[in-house]
Amino acid sequence: MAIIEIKDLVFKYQNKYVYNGLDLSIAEGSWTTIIGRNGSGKSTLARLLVGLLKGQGKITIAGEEMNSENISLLRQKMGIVFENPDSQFISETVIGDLVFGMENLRIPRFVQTERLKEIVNYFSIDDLLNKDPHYLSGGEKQLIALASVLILEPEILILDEAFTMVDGVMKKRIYSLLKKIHRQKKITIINISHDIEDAVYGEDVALISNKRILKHDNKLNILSDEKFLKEVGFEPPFMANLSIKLKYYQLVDKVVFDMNEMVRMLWK
Amino acid sequence: MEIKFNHVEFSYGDKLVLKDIDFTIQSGMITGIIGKSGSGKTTLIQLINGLLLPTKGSVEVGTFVLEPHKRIQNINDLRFNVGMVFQFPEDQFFHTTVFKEVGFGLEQFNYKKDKKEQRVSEALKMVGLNDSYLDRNPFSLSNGEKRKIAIASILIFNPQVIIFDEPTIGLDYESKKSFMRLIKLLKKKFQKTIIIASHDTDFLHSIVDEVVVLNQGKIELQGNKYDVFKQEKRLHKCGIIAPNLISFSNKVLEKKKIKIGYRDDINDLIKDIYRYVK
Repeated sequence: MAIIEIKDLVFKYQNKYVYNGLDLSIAEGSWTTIIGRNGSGKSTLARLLVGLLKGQGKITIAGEEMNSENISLLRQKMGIVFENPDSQFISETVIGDLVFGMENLRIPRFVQTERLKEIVNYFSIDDLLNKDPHYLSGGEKQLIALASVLILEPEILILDEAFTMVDGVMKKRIYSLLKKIHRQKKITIINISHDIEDAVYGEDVALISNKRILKHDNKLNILSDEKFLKEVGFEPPFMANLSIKLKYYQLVDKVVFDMNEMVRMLWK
Repeated sequence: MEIKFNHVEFSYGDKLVLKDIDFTIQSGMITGIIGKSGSGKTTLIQLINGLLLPTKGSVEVGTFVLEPHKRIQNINDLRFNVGMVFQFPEDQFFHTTVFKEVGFGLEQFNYKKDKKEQRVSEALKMVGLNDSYLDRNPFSLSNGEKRKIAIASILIFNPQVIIFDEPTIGLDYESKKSFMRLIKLLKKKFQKTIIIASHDTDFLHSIVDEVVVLNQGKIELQGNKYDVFKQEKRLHKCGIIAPNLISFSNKVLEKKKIKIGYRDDINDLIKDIYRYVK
């Protein structure tokens, strides 16, 4: 079942079309990476989805068509993490930020305590709780921004270039946490990125080009289609690229995204 | 232009940010400064063009010597020779047309003001843009184009050294490729010394000669890129992931005890694999 349905979306900025007839259907519990080049309007789509911008066309969230009356309620189903986490911090302590959203939604205290315990445990952030989020490292800030959103238990998590500034090791840590949360809580994830390597962590890929979704399919079909990716200004992610080239020399017979599996396949 | 760090220390107030930094950046080379956020990368590069002065030790930039509490003689000459492109190009824009923006420095510093039009055109050409950009608003350009304008406004001074702070953040594949071509051109054709602070190891691996890895303000590793990048565990300790090309060769070595070698290009890696598997 689709949890998000966008039909014939049109959005103009300064009299220029950003989207002209965009359709997108996101299945409940899926992890979709939305890929697009710089200036393709990816962040605009994130803002349209959470109602921060308004376009023409129809956006349906969990069966309800978005309008000015139900926007606040629909927004509670969604959590969004932006590229710059500083814009999301309100409190002077990490713990303050984690409970802020729950206080706002008047979630009972005993539920707050339970959720806090769970998220702190999940993210292993006990040592950061009393620190000022503004003075954390870039990666830690994004970890806290993500935890502050997930503590509200949204049905849909939208990541808008959320890990662009995060260093390698921390990025891997965050993605493996997200994988666990996605698996256990069945949360729908929409990860918007300019970096095709990010698509390897998800299940499906939707590619934005020329003011619409050009292709939406499972990641294997899109990331292994070298010709199509080249046409839209991308190269397959490293492991897909390696697989495609090794397939050409008949050294492997399929595209794999895992290095260990590739080494096993090559030296059977 | 050679740059030498002599046992440099730097503190913001009582917070020690860089400790005993002692290394040399060779003239005409591309050097990568790697480290996770907060490791001291940006502070280190700002010590090269005199934006910051060391708290201890000294930095030699060609004939300039930067020392604690010592006023830099002819600081403008240093700045003309050491250009810096910041992480967010918008941070260095002032004007509403590309022509004014790129030519701004010449007017401001009363430096090589003659033939301004020609110099602006030449600087744009070096970054792969033509005169059709002259009247455009730099703020309305794409991220990749903005970065090129920021670089052109530095190149107009013909600096010997160019420093880039996290130049690939947010750039898509095509923009990154075009930036890489530009860096290679600046090195090969114009013999510039280039320093790139970044945590994008795949990008750095494809372009740098030498690498310095910072961890909590200290140099953890330094040397040619292969020697540094193959030390995956030590990089991991610094919060950095090794480039994919190197990581794959390491994986083969670890799992199969086969040395397939370290390569810059995926096609060369494929040839190596072919040789060992067939």
